[in-house]
Amino acid sequence: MFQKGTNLTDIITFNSVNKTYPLAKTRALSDYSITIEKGEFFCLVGPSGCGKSTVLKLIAGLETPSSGKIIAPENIGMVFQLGALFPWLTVEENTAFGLKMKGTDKTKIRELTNKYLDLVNLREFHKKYPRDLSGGQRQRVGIARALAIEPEVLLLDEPFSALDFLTTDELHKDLLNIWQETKKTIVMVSHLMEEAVLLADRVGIMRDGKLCKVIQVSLPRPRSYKKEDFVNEVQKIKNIIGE
Amino acid sequence: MAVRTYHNHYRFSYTTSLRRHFSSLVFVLLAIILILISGINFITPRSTVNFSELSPLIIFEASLNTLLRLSIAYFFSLLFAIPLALFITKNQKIEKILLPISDIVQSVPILAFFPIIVLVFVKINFFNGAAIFILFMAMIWNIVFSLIGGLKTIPQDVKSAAEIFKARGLKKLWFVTLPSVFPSIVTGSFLAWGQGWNISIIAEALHNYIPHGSYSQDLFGLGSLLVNSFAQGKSSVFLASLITMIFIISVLNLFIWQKLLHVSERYKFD
Repeated sequence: MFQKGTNLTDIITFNSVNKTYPLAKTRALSDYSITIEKGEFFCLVGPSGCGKSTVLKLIAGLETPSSGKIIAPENIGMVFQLGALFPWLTVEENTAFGLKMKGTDKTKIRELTNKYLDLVNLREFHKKYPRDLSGGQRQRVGIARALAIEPEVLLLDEPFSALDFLTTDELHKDLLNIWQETKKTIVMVSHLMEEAVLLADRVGIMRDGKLCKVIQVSLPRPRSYKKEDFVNEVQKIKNIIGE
Repeated sequence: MAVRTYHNHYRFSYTTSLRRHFSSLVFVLLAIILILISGINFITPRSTVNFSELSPLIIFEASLNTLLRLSIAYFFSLLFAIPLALFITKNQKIEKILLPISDIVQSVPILAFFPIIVLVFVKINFFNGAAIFILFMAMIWNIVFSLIGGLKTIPQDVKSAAEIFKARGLKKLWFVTLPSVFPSIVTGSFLAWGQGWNISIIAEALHNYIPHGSYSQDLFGLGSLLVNSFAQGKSSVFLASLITMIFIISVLNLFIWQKLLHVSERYKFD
């Protein structure tokens, strides 16, 4: 039988995870347990330094837990705050990077690269370099690069925090479309409650390395910032963080 | 004219840069020739200059010899500098121990060891080895420290991206680390060659370091030509060698280093 708290639809499980960074005085995560289901859009919110990014790093395998157990798939794609694109590679080469490292054959690389550049509407920019692109376009390349390896989970670490409002708005819509089209599990970190409520199925609220509460956002999509129930939902999260 | 911009900051193209550098080269060469002619005429009256000593072929051969020595020394500098810098920055503990050591080693004047090094190589009858080794020691540190700086400024997210997309071991080195530090390699190499040219003048005149040495023990090259022609009062040879050296350095600067510096802009993180 499955362990308690895990079932066929669970894709990521944290079981009493603790994480202390070397030389740090306090724990980045303490007694952290969470379950993320396959195909859901999960968003972690909380103030700076609450351990949100640590959760992503642990899922991605970039960090190892000090204690506790993590179950997460091997094949994971990640989108970084400032893109983290390779400036010496073109849009196409950046997108193909993960596939090339895996040793995928050239025809398959071309096929997947084109597919995901189409998905993020950047096919015509395939020969450009990151410096020739706007901030929003760079993030799109970051998304295409992460999706190209066809990951089981897509992690996003505050991907829109450096972008202006209009670009963010556009990328929110695109990300939701991509999620609905690819049916990927998405785990996103954000410091904006509004962003979390706008995008996620469930919002995990964090404070001081602990998961305070997980809220199910049951508002129908497309959601709008202006609607009263949206504002109420955001307020609910703010209240929990402020407690 | 098609403008090829390599990055946002350079508003001028590579061709424009070439043209600018070429005109500066002509200007600098002319200025130096004029200053030298007047200077040498002042020190040594024209009547003592022996123009028959000057053979373009000899100077050309000497240049090739020096270039070859510098190239070999540079090749080994690069070959050793990359693993050394990677090792020094591998983790904080190693860095804490090795960085101060390399700091001290690089600040010890390499020429102070030259007499000993020369004698070691003379013992095994490998005179070229002495010059190349000294050039190597003078060149390597520029590359090492430039590389350490480059390695330490690779953004954490870029390293994480490499990790996530399974660029590990040699793949990581080739596809992520080396491109990331390419601008540092270029800057370090540029400085290393500058240092190399400086040292070549001393490194080829071996007779100074061999007890009871004679001119015949010197290595044939532009550096020894410069030193010996001046010492023997052959000003025309000295002048021709000096102009040749400046010319070669400028041509290398124009066609290799300027080009590489432009290309390296493409490798820089924002």
